[in-house]
Amino acid sequence: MQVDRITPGMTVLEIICRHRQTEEVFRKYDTAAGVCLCCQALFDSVEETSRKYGLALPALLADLERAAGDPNR
Amino acid sequence: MAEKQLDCRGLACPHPVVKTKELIDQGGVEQIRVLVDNAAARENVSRFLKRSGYEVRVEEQAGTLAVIGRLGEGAAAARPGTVCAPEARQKVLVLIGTDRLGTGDDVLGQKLLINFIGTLKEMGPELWCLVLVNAGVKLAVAGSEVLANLQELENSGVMVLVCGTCLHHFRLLEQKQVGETTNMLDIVTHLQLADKVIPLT
Repeated sequence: MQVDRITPGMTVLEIICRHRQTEEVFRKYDTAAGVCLCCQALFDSVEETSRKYGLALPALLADLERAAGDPNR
Repeated sequence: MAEKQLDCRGLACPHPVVKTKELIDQGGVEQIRVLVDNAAARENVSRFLKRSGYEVRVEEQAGTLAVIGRLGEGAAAARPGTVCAPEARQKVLVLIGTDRLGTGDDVLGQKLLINFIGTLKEMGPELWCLVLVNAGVKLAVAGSEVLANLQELENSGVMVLVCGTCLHHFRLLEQKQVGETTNMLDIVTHLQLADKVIPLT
């Protein structure tokens, strides 16, 4: 199946709108970030979000792509 | 003017924004009332509506927050299914991609840009958005001679968007003192929504 790539410049909102199942991934990272990412970083890019909250960008992107590629997740 | 209403009480972020986006994407929404019950949803829905060209106000009644968006006159013309008002106020976007104005003498160029930023308020309410990219982001950080001017503009309702990639490039992310850190999609969207773009690059 062809999956839209998730790029570091995409905002949290863009990603969730395109791939609803990625919301769960962001929720998973809330604890590490110390904030609700869907509340505080909705309009920030993933790159900005990872930098701002000290998250590992490659791991976050990988988790998002994995979720995006699995519509049943 | 027909108003659409969404009841997003009890919904956590990002759902109020996602639902608002879905409704707006259908087109023809000139005025919208979104009911929410928490501060984060109020902030995010307001921010989303502003980015989509709506003028936003919030009403509070008995613990319910109503975020009311009315499509700006300038944006109405750009949206399918809407009618352009005859006395539409245009939305002016100023794109600043430099920290000095013109070429020839850099010191003079910096003075001219300071003067330019200080004079922008004379555009009045038509000045809708300032976008700072490349060296223009240096204007938005601590120590900038126009920081107070930009903060004044922002407080008066002018949207100030600051390129996040550029801040990162110049290692200025932590020094930003005004405006909203943004990305290229936002910049392109605002350029499209504006009635007039004044580039200063």
